[in-house]
Amino acid sequence: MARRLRAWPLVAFVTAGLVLTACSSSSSSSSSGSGSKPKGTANVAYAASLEFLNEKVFGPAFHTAKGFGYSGRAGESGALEAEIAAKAIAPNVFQAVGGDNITPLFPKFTKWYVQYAGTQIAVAYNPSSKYAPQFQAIASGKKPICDLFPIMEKKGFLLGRTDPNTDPQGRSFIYMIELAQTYCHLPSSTVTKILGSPLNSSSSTQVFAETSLLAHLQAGQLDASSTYLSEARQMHLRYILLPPAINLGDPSMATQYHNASITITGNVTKHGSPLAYVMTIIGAPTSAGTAFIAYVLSPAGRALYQREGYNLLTPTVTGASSAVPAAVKAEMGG
Amino acid sequence: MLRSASAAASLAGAAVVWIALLGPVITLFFHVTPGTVSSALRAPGALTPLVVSLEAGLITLAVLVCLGTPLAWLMARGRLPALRLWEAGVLASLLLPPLVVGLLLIFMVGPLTPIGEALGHLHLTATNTLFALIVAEVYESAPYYVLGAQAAFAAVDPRMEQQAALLGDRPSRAARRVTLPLAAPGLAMALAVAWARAMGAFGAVIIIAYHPYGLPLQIWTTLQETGLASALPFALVLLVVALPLPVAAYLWSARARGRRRG
Amino acid sequence: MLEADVEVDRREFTLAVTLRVAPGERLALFGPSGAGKTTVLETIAGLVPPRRGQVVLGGRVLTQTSAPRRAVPPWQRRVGLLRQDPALFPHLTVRQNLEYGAGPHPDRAATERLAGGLGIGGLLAARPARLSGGQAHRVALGRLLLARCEALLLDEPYTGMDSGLRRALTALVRSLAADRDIPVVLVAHELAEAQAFADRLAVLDAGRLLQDGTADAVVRRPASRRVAELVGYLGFVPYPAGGEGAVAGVHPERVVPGDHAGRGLVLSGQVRARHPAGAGWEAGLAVGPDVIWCRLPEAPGAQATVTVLDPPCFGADGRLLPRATGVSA
Repeated sequence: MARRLRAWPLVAFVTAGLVLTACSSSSSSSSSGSGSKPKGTANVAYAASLEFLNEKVFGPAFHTAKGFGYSGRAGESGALEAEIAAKAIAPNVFQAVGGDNITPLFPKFTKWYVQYAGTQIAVAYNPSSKYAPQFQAIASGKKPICDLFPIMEKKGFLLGRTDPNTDPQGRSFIYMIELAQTYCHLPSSTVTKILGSPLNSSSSTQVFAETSLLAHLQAGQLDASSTYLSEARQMHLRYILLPPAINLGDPSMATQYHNASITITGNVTKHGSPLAYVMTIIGAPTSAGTAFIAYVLSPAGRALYQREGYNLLTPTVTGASSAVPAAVKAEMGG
Repeated sequence: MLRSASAAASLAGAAVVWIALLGPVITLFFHVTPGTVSSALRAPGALTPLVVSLEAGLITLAVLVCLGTPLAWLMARGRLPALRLWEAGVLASLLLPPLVVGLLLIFMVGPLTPIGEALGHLHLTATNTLFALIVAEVYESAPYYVLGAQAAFAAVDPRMEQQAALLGDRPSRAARRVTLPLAAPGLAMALAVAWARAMGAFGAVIIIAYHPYGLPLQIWTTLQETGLASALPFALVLLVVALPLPVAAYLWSARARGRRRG
Repeated sequence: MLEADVEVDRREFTLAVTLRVAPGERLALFGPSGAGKTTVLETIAGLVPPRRGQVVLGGRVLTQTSAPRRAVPPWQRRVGLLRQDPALFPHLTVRQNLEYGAGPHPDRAATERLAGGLGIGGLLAARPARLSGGQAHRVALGRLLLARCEALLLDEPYTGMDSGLRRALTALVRSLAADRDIPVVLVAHELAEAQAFADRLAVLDAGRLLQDGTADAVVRRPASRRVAELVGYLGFVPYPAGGEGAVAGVHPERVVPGDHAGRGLVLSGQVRARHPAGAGWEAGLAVGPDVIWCRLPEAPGAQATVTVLDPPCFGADGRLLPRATGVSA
């Protein structure tokens, strides 16, 4: 009798816990407080390098300013494109690095994209690395930037980068090294000496998953790693700025960047291009999704991007501009 | 009549739960065909992750048996001071999400840590190598084995060991001739669970052993490179490769117990 | 020679026992449940450390708490312990169980001979799970015997066996112990078992050894009233000739009908009740305020006179009084 009595409180407790969890999750998914007028949530799939910005800064600001809910999911641009194409995910908005991650979705999922901001490749370094003094000298300009690459060739140098087959950042870093080889007039074996061979191999010990790369650097277990400048600033990493000729951040140097290339899985060859963020609406426009894109292009939104370390680019549309919603066009101001 | 109605109801209830649990596995069979599996396996380099997973899995099992079994025996026999503390420790490592275990392993065995540098002297790196994969798999599966093995040893009546001692066996000899054989079915089942965890290990693996690819990482990268449809066949391969060992362990364990119950 | 002089702390009391068992001698440890009998065996076997004391077997010191300290571990003692739970190894066959302690090259013929003697010769290839309780005990006994123990400790090993089997096994153990000339200690809580098996009886109660002597001496002349109660004296009648508060112990099997003054204490009274016992009746005879139970043919209501043969008498302090001649009521 006593044993049966004691079971009831436990059952009640568990049930209450489940009910509470269900309530809170359903209320958070609607994501809007009572009494806010617009209904709907912007479901945004975005390149991982926008994660800090979207989750911590932009999403909340959007919700406060416009009243719509925000729900975001990060991923590597190429992987997100593949998931959208396979209908595994169905976001309203897709933000990627590089228009070539959106063009495969034409025309079924969207017919246009707008390029609106950019970032550049930088080299983050570990301040406790034995090479740190040299990195610091290069970063502050006391030593020339071209001194960086012979250091990276050294035996035992712990370099980190991401998978070129799946991550634009992984490819961009390789382009950067290739461009640097030309820019600094280094011998033609430099790229393979730094990165190993074959270039697109994901079995290099330098290749990490994106989250893992940052963790390794912050734990002080790498000497240097690839990074986007915006990410380095947001994560307060020490970094070395690279010249525009190699940092993939200047849209006017697109043809130069195009000289660098890499062949990835499936025998696809990709070429260097400016690191521009592009975005579009996936499927039929929703009011929340349209409002999100409009907010990105608004002066308030652009101020946020600039504050978090991104370069602002003049919004330019690629594809069928007739398909661009009016609200978005309005923000672009013609 | 009442008995058969309630028996049928129990069976139906159990079947519903079982099918619900197997939902993902059943769904898998709806989305792969023999054709997709064979073409996925025939792609160049597609068999390497299979070999890597098997190699790492078997070595992990060996490590668990050698290191985990004595610890579990000591914990089961209460020979350790503050036993609850030891158990809490194993439970704590079980509670940490594998992703977090991986992140913490960077701090523990990364190339520039004291342990990492010591490993370096032995020409071993615990980042992005087969050794790292084994380390990640061991950390993800060890608590399951240790706790299961402890239960298996605890289920052996200590009077059996006492009797063996009175018949002239030193503790180590009694452990070998009596405790281990009696605990073996339970140990086999604990090992089967640990094997399943090791083969499917992902969270810690993706952090410290992105390469060499085992099957779980293969599924992950294929998903990103070429999409869901081409990633699922590898999931079936993982199932087919990983399943025989635990099933065999369970069958042997059940037979051994049956023999002893006469 | 097995000598044990130990003090062991238990939850309710401290056990303090001194025993000596000669080779070939059989001692029965007798007493109520919870008296500490199993603890004595476990201490001799080395499973329980005594707070203070000494255990010596065949001249070898197995346990010594005073300097030089010694605590020989159980696997080196060569002491065989058979418990109520035979603890056969379920993963081994009967033959493997029997030969467990017999070393790396057991004599298979000897195993078969012993198994035959124990009546389990046909079960050598079976697994313990298939054996009945009696068969399991015989295997456990055989296992101890093949392991060449220098002393045998048997903890109520015949529980749950029918009397025929019990008799057969008791005879077997007696002959084997005599053959090998080893001391045997048997724990029993039924007097009949203890008497059937042993030369000597040691009565244990609440951790104290109350009496140690031949079975006959313990039952005929119990050292105290408590011992008398434990060995089956069911009634105590006043015995004024012994002094203030003295009583005489009445054992139902030491009472004969009729008046035989000179052979013991004569009592008269009325039969109150009776119940069948064995081949006759056991009746309750009211003698004054006491009721004594004895074997009588009379029916309830009838008057009867009985003589208690040579009863032990106890003073007010419970201790045995010296025998006096010519006792009578």
